[in-house]
Amino acid sequence: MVGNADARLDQARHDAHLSKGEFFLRYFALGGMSTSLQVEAILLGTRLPSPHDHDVLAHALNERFSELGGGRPIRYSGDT
Amino acid sequence: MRKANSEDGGQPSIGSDNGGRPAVADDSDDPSDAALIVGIERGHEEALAEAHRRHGPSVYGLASRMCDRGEAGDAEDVTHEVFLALWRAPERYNPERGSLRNHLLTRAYKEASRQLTINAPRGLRPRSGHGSGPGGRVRLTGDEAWALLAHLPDAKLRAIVSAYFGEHTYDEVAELLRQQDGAVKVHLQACMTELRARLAVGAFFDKMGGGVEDMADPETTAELTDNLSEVARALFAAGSVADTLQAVVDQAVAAIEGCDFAGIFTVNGEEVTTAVHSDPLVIAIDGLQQMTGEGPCLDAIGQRTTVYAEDLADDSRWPTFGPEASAAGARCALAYHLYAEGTLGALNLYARYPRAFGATDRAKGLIFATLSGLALGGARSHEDEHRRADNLNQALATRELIGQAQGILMERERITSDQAFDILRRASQHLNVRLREVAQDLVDTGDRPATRTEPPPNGGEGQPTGRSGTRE
Repeated sequence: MVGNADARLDQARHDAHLSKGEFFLRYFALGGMSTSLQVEAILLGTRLPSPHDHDVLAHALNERFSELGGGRPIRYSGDT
Repeated sequence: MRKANSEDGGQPSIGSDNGGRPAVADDSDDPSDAALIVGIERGHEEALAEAHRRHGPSVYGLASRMCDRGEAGDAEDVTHEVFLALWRAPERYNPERGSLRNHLLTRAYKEASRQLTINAPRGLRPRSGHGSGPGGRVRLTGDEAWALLAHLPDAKLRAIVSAYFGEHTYDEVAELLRQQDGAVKVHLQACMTELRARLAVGAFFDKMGGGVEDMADPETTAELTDNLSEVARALFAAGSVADTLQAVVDQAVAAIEGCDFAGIFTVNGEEVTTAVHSDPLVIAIDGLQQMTGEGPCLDAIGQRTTVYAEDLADDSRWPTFGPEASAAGARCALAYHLYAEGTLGALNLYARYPRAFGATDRAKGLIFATLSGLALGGARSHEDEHRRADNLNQALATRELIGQAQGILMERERITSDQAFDILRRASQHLNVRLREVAQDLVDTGDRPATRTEPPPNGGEGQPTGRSGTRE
């Protein structure tokens, strides 16, 4: 399971220098089906994402970190 | 005569030489209004008489137009009260808040309103037939407009207008009013609309202290206002920031008589560049300012004000730049601080001959710079909107592409949409390329993307192709 990784998504978004709007747009481009409000709730920790939703959010962040020259630090739901 | 010695207990006789009707002012500027106030404070009746001679006609004119019964006695009373108040409390005039004339007109407006309230319960209304323009719009002279501005119903609006004409930036106005920058801009834009409709250009001349008598002529004023409306339309219609900058320069050369060539400096941190120009000479002159580190345009930005150099060949403010610029072909320069959400730069007008910019040109330039700042602010927001729309379109296109790739995988491998995404995501991770590019590759070639830890989505069929993908 993802565990408390979701709680760290918002911190990662900060670290990736993405505004909430920019983050949502990247998530949306990858085919994410949640609304911007739902994504915001996930970032706030008040909504638990499905494993798939988590993976889409994680991938949006990982692509951003990759652009910035870093690795892909965010774990996916299936990672052990 | 000293105040203490006044025969009537402190009330000086005002305009008694012509029975209370003010005399016609001449153009004498000496002594200055500031000196007159000092004189009044010290109790010199001569100073009050001079102030009355100078500004009495305007005060009387406004008062008489405001009195709907048109009885001369009312206007004379108002004029008398205004100058009496000045005599009794000259310290109430604050030079930092505007000219003495505007102060007196504001007081006249208040006093006339008060008298009308007492004498005419129906309230203040313009004298019938006075100043009604086409469509029922009331035309105002500059003096009246200033008095009117002082009484705009919205106190904030009024404060903003005064700050506006004090050439403050949005930030400074926001600070003054303790408002958000955005709210200030909305108010300022509302002000511009209001002003375009109600304020004759004469007001600017009064503010500039230009004293251009012919500007009071309604026809000249109307012509200039129409001209500026065209300028405003051209500036606001330009669209992009680059087009707006070019429009500002083109319109400046066309609309400002003394201007031979013009350019705009833009500031980016320490760097100052000539963004647009109407003549290559502008680049040379601007370059000279950068090289010597001095010049009117740099001062306009640094001091956030308007700088006028009548004759660059002989101006002690710029001992190095001045003569060099003059030798290069620019004898006269007029630089305005240009701002749109902070300092943008300076609008620089140049002329080949000294003293090329008269009071009319200088006032026009001020209006011009103000409009330019607003137009540039608008163009910037416009570009931001475009950028947002572009980003959204790009996101939609990516989403559609990824959806197509997922569809191909779902159809071919009989898997769910989430499983298809997982394959694409793992390939993206494995190849270290964007998921979008993995999807594009799949759609273009039909080849299944490679993943390092291939899950058997449907009984283990479908092997990685080992394609290397394209790195960014």
